[in-house]
Amino acid sequence: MDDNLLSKAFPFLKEDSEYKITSKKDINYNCIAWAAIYDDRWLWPPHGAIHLDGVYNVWPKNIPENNDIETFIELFKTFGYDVCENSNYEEGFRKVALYVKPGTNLCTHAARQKRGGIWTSKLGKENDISHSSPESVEGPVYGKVAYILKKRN
Amino acid sequence: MKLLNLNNLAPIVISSLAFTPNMNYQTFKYNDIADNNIKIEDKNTLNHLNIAQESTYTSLLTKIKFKEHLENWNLNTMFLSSPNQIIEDSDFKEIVKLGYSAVPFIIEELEEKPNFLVWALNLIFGYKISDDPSTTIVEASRMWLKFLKS
Repeated sequence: MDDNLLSKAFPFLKEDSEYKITSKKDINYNCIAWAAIYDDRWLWPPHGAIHLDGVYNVWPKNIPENNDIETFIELFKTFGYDVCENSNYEEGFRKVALYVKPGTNLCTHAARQKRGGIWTSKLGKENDISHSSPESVEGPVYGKVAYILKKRN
Repeated sequence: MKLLNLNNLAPIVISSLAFTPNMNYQTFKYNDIADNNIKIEDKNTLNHLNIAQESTYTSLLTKIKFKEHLENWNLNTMFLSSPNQIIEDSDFKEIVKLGYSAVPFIIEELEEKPNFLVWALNLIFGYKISDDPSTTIVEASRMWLKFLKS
C-alpha cells in the first residue's frame, strides 16, 4: 500500500504503535466479512449489488436491504453480537466496531478485536492491518466509530 | 523544413496523447496527423500512415481513456468496502459507458491479475458469470476470461 495514500485516508495510523500490515492484498473479502471472520466473500446488503460476481448475497431475510448502520447492527446480531458500552478488551468476549461517515447514517467499515485486545481491519480491496484501537482507522474514508458490539467467545 | 525525424513521429504523437491531461479525445482524428505540416520522408512511415485506419487510432484512444479511468477508479475506491460505492464511482461509470469497446482492455487486465473489473463486465453484459454465491472475485475473473475467450 502507498504510504502517502494511507496517511491521508487514516491520519491516526502513523501514531499507532500496533499498526502493521498483517496480510497480502486479497480481493476476495471485505471488511464486514473479515469482522465476521470470513475471508472468502464480500458481505454487503444485496441492495444494488446482487448482480455483481463475488458479492455474497445470503443476507438474512428479516434484515433491511440498505446500508444504514442499524442494518449492520442487525446483521451482527444474527452472528450473536449485541451493542455494548465501550471497546475495552474483556476476557471471553469478542468485539466489533462499526463506523459511519459524519453527517450520514451509512455504515462504512467494521473492525474486529482479536484475543489480547489488538484490533484488525480489512482495508477495502487492500490488506488486513492490525491497530491498537477502533479509533486508529477513523478519518475521511471511514468516518467515526458509531457503535461497539460484543459477543461471548 | 524537416521538423522531425519521421521515424519518431508515431511514438511522439502517441506519448503526448497519453500524457495530456483533460484532452478532448473526441477532437483527435487520424486527419490531425495527415493535415499536419510535417513532411514525411521515410517511405515505411508514409506507407504505414497511408494504410492505417481511423479505427486504429480510435482504439488507441479508447485504451488511453480506459487506463486513465481505471487508475482513478482504483485510487478513489481502494479503501472502500461497499460494492455500491465502488460501482457508483464516476470513473467506474465511465469504464462501463465505454461498453463493448472496453472489453478487450478488461480482458488484458484480468489476464494480468484477477480484479474487480468483473463488476464492469457484469454491468456491460448485464450478466453474472456465476450464480453460485460462494464464487470469489478471483474465480469470477477466471470464469469471465474463459467465457470471453471461448
